[in-house]
Amino acid sequence: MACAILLLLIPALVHAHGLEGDRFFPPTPLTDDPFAVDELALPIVQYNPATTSNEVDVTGSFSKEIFPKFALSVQDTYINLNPKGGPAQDGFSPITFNAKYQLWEIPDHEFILSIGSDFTLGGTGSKALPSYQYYTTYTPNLYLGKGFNELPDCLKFLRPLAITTVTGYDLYANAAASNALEWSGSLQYSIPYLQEHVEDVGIPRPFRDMIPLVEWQMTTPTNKMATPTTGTINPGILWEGKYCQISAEVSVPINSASGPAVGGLIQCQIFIDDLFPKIFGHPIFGSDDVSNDTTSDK
Amino acid sequence: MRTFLTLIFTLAGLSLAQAHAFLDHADPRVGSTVSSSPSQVKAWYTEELEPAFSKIRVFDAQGNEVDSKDVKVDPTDKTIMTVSLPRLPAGTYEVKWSAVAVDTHHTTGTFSFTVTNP
Repeated sequence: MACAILLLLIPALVHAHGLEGDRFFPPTPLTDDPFAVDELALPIVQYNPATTSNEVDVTGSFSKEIFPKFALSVQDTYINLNPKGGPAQDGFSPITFNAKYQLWEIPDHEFILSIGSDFTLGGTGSKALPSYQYYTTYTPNLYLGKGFNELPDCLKFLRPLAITTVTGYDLYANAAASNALEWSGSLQYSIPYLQEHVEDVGIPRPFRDMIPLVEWQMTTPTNKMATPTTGTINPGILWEGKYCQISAEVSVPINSASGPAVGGLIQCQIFIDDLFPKIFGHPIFGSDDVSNDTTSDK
Repeated sequence: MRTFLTLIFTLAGLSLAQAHAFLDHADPRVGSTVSSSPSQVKAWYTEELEPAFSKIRVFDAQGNEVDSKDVKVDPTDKTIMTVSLPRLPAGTYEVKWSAVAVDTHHTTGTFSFTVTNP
């Protein structure tokens, strides 16, 4: 009776963002996580030193779950270029829209597979930037997340590890441009997972809420241009707060074509579904399945 | 950050709420080995729980539920949930919990503990 009354009095239960079984997959700065949920990243500040021009990017992105497991997002970046020996150049990058769907989930195996696509609209960026793009880019993406929860007891301290990847293919609406394979990922070691699900080893806060990680972000041209794969390896740390997450990484170029020196980035991710649960944290149409209850019988 | 957002959304006529309830710590401790059978599993969460939707169940290695099915959320501190245990034989036990915070966010989790000499 009490349950029935409560069901009438309170709104539908809300599924936690980024959870698959016991695993929380945090949104990471460079690898879009596989969850189609409400997210607000504001800002991501990135510093990229280059041979001819140092660059500072400030990015904001917002994602909204429209239907259960399906979300739309929008992202844009303000770019500040400081050419060596020349005047600064400022402006917005092209607007990027993204559609994402959570295709396959196995909570007991901490596994999720999602599909989606980026649409970078040509002509929407600042013409003052040398990277101005008048044509649109489509990037179909495959998103993957997997926790290491199945490791045997002798390797239990590796169970907090998890991996996420995004593999996409840039298709340019311009025959002169070179298509490219975009592949990024993260390897994470979750101290909260260690404390809550493996063994409470007594790590105090704030370290208990941290996730050391390494991200990689690569681009491999696939036609016409004989340029090598470029990208960065990004070791860093992520801190999970109650309402936001802050992460910091250094960006190490993998070769000379990727950049001359080490850069870095800082991201603030705001958990808007925790801050404003009446507005965010659930789809506009339909409702999330919250049947993933680990207390069910074996 | 929260103060800033609170100000903005208060001005907008909206209110802030609580966050997801995650396990803070437990007794017996997560992954621990205890020499005697514990009388209960007591779990502390990061947020207040909704008693009607929150529960803890304890299973033995064969998958049989061994707790006394008397889950309680402490009425004086709703971040604490307990379930009683009978005298347990030696073995490893799995605790499965499901927590609904008062803002209706739903989280679940598992952990284990081992009894060596009840």
